[in-house]
Amino acid sequence: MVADDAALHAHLTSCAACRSYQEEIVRTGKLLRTVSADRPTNEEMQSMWNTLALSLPGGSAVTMTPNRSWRGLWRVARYAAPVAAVLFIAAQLGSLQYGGEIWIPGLPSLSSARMQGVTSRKLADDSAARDSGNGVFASADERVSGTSGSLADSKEENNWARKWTSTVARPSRGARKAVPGEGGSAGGERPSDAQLDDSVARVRSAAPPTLEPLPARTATVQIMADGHANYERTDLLTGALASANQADLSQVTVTGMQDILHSQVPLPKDRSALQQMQVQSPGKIGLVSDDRAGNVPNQERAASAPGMTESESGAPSTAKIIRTGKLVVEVPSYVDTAGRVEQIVAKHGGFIGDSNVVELTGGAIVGTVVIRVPAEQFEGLFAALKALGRIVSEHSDAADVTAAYVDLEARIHSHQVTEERLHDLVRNKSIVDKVSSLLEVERELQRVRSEIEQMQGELRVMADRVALSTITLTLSEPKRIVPSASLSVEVSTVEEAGAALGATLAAIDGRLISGKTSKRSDGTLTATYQLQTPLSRFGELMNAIQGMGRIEERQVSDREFTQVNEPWAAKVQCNVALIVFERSRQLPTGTMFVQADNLNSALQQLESVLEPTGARVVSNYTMVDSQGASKAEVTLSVPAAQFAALIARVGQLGRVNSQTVTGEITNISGGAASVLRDLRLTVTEVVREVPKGQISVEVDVFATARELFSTLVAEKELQVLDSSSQQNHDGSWMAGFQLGVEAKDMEAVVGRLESLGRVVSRNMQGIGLGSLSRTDPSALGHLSVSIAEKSAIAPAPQQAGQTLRTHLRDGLAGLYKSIGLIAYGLIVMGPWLAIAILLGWLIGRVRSRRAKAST
Amino acid sequence: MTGDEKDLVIQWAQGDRHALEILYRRYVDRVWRYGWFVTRSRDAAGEVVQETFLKLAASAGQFQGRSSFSTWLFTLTRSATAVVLRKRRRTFPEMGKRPFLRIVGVEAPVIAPTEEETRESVRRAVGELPAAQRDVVILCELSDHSIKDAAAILGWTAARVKTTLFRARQRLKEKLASLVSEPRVSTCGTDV
Repeated sequence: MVADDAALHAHLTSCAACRSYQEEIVRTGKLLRTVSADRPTNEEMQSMWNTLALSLPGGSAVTMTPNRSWRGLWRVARYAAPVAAVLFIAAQLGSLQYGGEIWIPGLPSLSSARMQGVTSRKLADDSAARDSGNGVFASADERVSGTSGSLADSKEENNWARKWTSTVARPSRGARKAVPGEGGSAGGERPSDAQLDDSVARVRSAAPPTLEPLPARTATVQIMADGHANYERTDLLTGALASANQADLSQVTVTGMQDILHSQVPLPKDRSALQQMQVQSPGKIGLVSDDRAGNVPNQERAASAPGMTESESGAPSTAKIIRTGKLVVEVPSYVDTAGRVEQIVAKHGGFIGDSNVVELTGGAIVGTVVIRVPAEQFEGLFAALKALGRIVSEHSDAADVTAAYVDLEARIHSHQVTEERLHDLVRNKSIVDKVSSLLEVERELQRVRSEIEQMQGELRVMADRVALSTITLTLSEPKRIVPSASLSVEVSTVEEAGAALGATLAAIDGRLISGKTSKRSDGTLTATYQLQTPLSRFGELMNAIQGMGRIEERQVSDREFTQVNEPWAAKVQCNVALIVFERSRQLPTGTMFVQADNLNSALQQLESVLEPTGARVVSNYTMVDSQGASKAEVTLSVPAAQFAALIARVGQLGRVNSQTVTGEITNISGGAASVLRDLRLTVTEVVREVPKGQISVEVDVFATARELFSTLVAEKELQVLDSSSQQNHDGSWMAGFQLGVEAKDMEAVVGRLESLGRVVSRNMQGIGLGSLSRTDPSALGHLSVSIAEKSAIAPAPQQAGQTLRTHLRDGLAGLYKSIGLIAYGLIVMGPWLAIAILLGWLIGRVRSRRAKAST
Repeated sequence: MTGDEKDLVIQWAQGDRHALEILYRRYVDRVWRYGWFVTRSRDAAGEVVQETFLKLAASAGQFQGRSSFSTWLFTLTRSATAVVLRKRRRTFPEMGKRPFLRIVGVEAPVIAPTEEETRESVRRAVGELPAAQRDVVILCELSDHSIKDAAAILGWTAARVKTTLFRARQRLKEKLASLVSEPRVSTCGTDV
């Protein structure tokens, strides 16, 4: 290396060329150094950093904090937590409202807790009702105690679930309330939680019942309840029945409303067990059929109605039964039947109490009578009344008042005994020694006596009601079907239709209840009628209405009026609502352009044209343009019906240039006919060509011509609009005039001017006032006149020399022009030439360089 | 030094903005100068700085410390410069190309150029070098990197760097002949 360096140094010192090369290289390095100081200015550095810092993640120059992931989590949690809380609360509220199930991790399942709660609550409810009810059900308590006990346990387990229960169970409680109470099942007021617990405890500790055997029988029990809770209740029911089972019980069929809950269960011997079932059921349990092995007499069935124990149903001979019956019978004629009813009642030893008669719409009569009849005749009379006609409804009832009757009798008896004793006291006077005591005894005696009398009165009333049964009989005539109609008819004119309707009504004995005619915006009329016609003539009226025009809408209720031929049909009135209307119209309006020979005469003619059509001129605007042509813009107002006639008549005024009509113009009738419509009419005259022109005359002596011209102007009263005159170099005169000449004078004036001298030129337009011209004679036409005096010096003939000079002059001018063009061309070409020369020179130089290089 | 820069990069990767700023202050000159000589525009050089440091900021996590920081930074700078040039070419199509028209056959007036003029012509000469030579010149002559450093940065052998640098100097010498201004004498031996 060192040797190399030394060799290099040695070579450099010896070789000038290499030295200079090396120096150049070093110099180049130095040159490079000069730019190595290039650096951004401090400001640039700072601004670059600022920009950079903004683009960095985080966005600002603020130092970022570490643990970005935790920050992110916190940011999410900050918003997520309230949202979650709100969602949770909303879900809870929703489930409260609708009883839906929500699963929340970590909490006990609501659905199971709720079900258990419902069950226990209902059971407790029922048992409380039982407790508060009568003692008949007490014997049944034990049968459900096992079940209720276990349910009560589950309730205690989930204490907080009870809150849910009370909300969720509400609909079923409502359903229970809706069911009419039968026995003790309705339960009455809802007991408090404490009461419930109490009653459940009591049910648990109740003593086993003693059951009396009953004859075997079958019963069908229907459960009317909702939801799957029914199954549970059925099980409960079955369980209850099973626990009450004895060997001699037969079958019970249980059917449900929605789901068939057929289950064969044994029927308890005791009727109270059935009521027990009612008590337990979540809905209604109705005793649908209850058949003993043999025929059960009617009286006994009544006696064994719910609410009475078997023992009390007792001997039939002493039973006190109040029998009532309700019967609705449809009869053809009330009046006829009423007489027969009286006969029948009299035959059965009864009598008629109240009666009440009402007449319904359509004239049908409905009457109600209250019949009292001896109890033993009840069945016979009831059957006889049923035979009167078609039975609409039938209801009979037997209320057993035996207990109350016996009770009342016993109380009367005991009171009589007391009374007897008091009498004895008074009679003996042994005990009653004082006046005060005597008074006391007397007072007591009086009280007992009045009570006896009161009770005896009650007993009499009861006896009367037992002895005489009550039948409420309603006799109704068949409902009369009265048709009604509503029609909407399009007619040509409402007036005609109204007249026709009046005639029809008179013919069919109908009535016009109300009528109203109104006008729509297009002038057409609409009439609304309320009509009445006897049922027997209803069809005729309908036919008449349908013949009036096009039926737009028809609505007939109870069309099957088969009773038209009934005798009462002439009396019953049917209602008909009728709308009669005219077709709505697009009323005409239009514009017309008419060209007339003469405007004034056309306008005068217009009045006579309008008269038969009833049209009026609403506005009139006449103008005359500068050419003397007149134009009138007239607005005519005419009844719509006459619009077509008006157009036809206006056409007579002259040539119709254009005509635009929108809307209907034919067959306009009814209210629309008199509506005034506008026709815009423009009457113009034929375009006039006012005479005008120019004439140029050469005269020998200007002064003479001038004089003649002045005479003409004065004579014809011409209007000189402009005049000018000038003298030429040769002394001759020239004059120009602009004249305003009336059309009628134009021809004469031109003729006079022509006679002034030699006519050099003449150019006239619109001359003449013939019938084709139709020019207004007084319209002003323009005439341009020029009068020139003959030149005094005649022009010299052209000479040859002049021609040469001219040629020479023209030739020189051509030369100059050519030189100019050449110069211009050179200037344009200059740059291109320069470029070409430059190119040539460049090519030469490059060639010479190449040649040099190759050498 | 290198370890220090590695630490700074790691600190930045952990979110310390100061670390990035330190790196920026320390290296902005070199990055800018590279951009400046390549693009010959202060604006573009600024953009190169932006691009480079944004790339650095974004990819700090990828820096493993296997190569030196300056190598990595220069790699980023080169790609950033390419990005900026591409972007600029879209906007100013003639940029970076050779001059459209040169005046032919007109000798420069024989007036001594000013210092700034001299510098400008040097800059132009550097910018017009082929890419490899330009990079070597910028690294070795203008940014005080040793041959070894430059070799590491460019991923070349030191010999190749030397050769390229020599060729670059020769090319520059030719380009700046008027400034080097020595009567041309044919060299002995072969033309290099």
